[in-house]
Amino acid sequence: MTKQAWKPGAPALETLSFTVRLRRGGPWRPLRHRWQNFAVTVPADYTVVELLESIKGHQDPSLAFRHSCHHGSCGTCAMKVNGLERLTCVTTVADVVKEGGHLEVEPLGHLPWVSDLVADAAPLFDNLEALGPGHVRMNGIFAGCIECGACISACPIGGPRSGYVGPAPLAAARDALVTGQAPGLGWGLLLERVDGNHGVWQCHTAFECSRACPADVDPAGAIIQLRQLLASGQAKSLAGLAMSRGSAAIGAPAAGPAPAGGAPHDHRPRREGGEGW
Amino acid sequence: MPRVGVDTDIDVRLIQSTPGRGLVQVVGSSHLESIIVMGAGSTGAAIAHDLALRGYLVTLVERGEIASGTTGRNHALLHSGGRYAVKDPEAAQECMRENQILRRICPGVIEQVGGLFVAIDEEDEAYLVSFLVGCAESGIPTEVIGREEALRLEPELNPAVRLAVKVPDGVFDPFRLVASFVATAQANGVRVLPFCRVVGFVQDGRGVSGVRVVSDIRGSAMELKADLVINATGPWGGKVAEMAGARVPVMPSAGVMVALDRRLSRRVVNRLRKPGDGDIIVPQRATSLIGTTSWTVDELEPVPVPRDHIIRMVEEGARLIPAARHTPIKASFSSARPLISGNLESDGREVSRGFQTFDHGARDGIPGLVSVSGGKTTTSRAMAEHVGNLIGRLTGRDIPCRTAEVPLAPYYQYRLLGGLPEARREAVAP
Repeated sequence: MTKQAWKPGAPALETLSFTVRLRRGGPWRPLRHRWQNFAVTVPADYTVVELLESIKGHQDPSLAFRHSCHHGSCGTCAMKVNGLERLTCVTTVADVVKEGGHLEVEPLGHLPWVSDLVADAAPLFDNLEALGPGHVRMNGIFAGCIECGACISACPIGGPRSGYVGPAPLAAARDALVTGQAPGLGWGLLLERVDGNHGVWQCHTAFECSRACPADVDPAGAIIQLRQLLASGQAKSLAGLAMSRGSAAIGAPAAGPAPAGGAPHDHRPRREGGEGW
Repeated sequence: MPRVGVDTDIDVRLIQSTPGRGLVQVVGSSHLESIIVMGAGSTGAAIAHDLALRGYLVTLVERGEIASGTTGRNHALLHSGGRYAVKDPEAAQECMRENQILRRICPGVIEQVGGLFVAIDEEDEAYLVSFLVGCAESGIPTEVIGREEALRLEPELNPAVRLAVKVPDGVFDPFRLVASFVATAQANGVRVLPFCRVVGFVQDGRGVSGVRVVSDIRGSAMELKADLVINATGPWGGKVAEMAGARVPVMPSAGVMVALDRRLSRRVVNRLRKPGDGDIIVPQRATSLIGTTSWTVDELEPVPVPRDHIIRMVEEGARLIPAARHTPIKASFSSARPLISGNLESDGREVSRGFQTFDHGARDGIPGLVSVSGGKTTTSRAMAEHVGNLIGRLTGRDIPCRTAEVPLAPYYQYRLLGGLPEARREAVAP
């Protein structure tokens, strides 16, 4: 799945010719949806996102897709490639299509569709903010989650519309409990959401989220651990312990949406070692 | 808590809808001038934030997702200024100043890890004195450490290291930094229109009074009217200005970066020498970014990634941290810097890393259009302050800049659909 550099002495990389089938349209567009085919010939080491850039640059400037960092850390470019969630900036075309074949790209499922290949990650962000370990969202972002939405798309339960809290937010809740760092909602509501109808008990343990996750977060494992913590009563003790240590104050639920300008708990510096100049 | 709100009643009115010809929207203002900012990279996002705080009525248009061009693919280095300390003290001072400001206004998107400049050979060692003098003159704090201490701090450093200098480099998340600027701007009433391509200008005679855009969300064309239009489209700046008959001497200068699949160091590791290819490794999230090269390009979609550059980056990176050679490559990518140049023969490395603003009214007889280009993400707030001051002069207003004090909203408050009506926000792709 990772992009391999050409090494000296290796044969020159070839080009590949194939058909790209893209989901077009969107809820605001006059034409609600259709598939559109593009015939392309590109270097075999192109990533899928480079392929999309090249289609936008040379064939259809109206193609909409999200991308930013091109090295698998911003999480914007997750899409469904041949039906499976992929981070398109670290997936080469050679990984997913053969000469003369078809490559199908769609937006992530279960999230609000914006246009063409764009899905809106806002509901995921909201749930992560509510349940994740407060500022830790940014402080290395819990367990390496890049907030791409692949787990939500892959989950057979359905997305935020079904009410289900979702894999990444549940993994974030597990991290909040285990690290004792208060979630945006506060401890009481965290337990209520996680233990409620749309919490961990709604999961069918299909493990699709852990399969789809490009950052090895393993949300399914986190959900199973959460169930154990809840069933054994340890979840309550952990939350109580964290509260008694006063960390609830740090991430105490804000009244209404956090004001622009940010509550203090949103602005703790990220530290991943080093002396923090 | 500092107040972010502004006093104007934001009034973006849908004046008329002309079926078949797209929507004609007039961006109206109840108090101050209306301004359209083109481009939501770090420059455009910071400008939209700056102007909103000053009370202008701002619309930010971006052809794709925010930070999907040069900014998103940058090196993620929060400059201490060390890289410019010897050759460009002015840029170095500005980096140091902005480094401190960004740590204050958006610490959440910054990994405060610090940086090292390491001397590997005699030549590097000989550079030490001029480096320390340059840093001292630019106000960059330094601390020289010996070989053992350097290897203790960064065990994977080249064991041939002779000495190292600690500087306050940092690492930021480019997408999330821009999202923080945009989220704050949205909270202050800026209308943000992503996936909205500028296809031309509305011109009365030569003067610019708006832009013609195509929204790839709505699938329709719109005219957006405004008192002033700011071109912050980075390496696309020359082509965009051309549509209005204006000239911006921007030279897209590409750089290849290689992302290795783990963090090789805790700190940013620079080579202690005159800046060159592959002399820096930035640990960002779960990767190590080695960069970069520099050559001028015409092709921006995608920016080419020459294979020999990838090999050179890995080899140069391995001179700093030998494990670079054996670490899997997660991704290799290119982005195009928007360098300003009068001399298009240069390869880009020697061209100023500074930025420039162009008031096309004064320069080309095209009032209503301002371009800004060049610069670095580390100094994007300062660029925006500079542009805001220029807009103040053009609109005859003297409103102080507040961006150095006002903390930014968290990045996750950025709303992609913030500029669209509520309806249809729940639809899911078939």
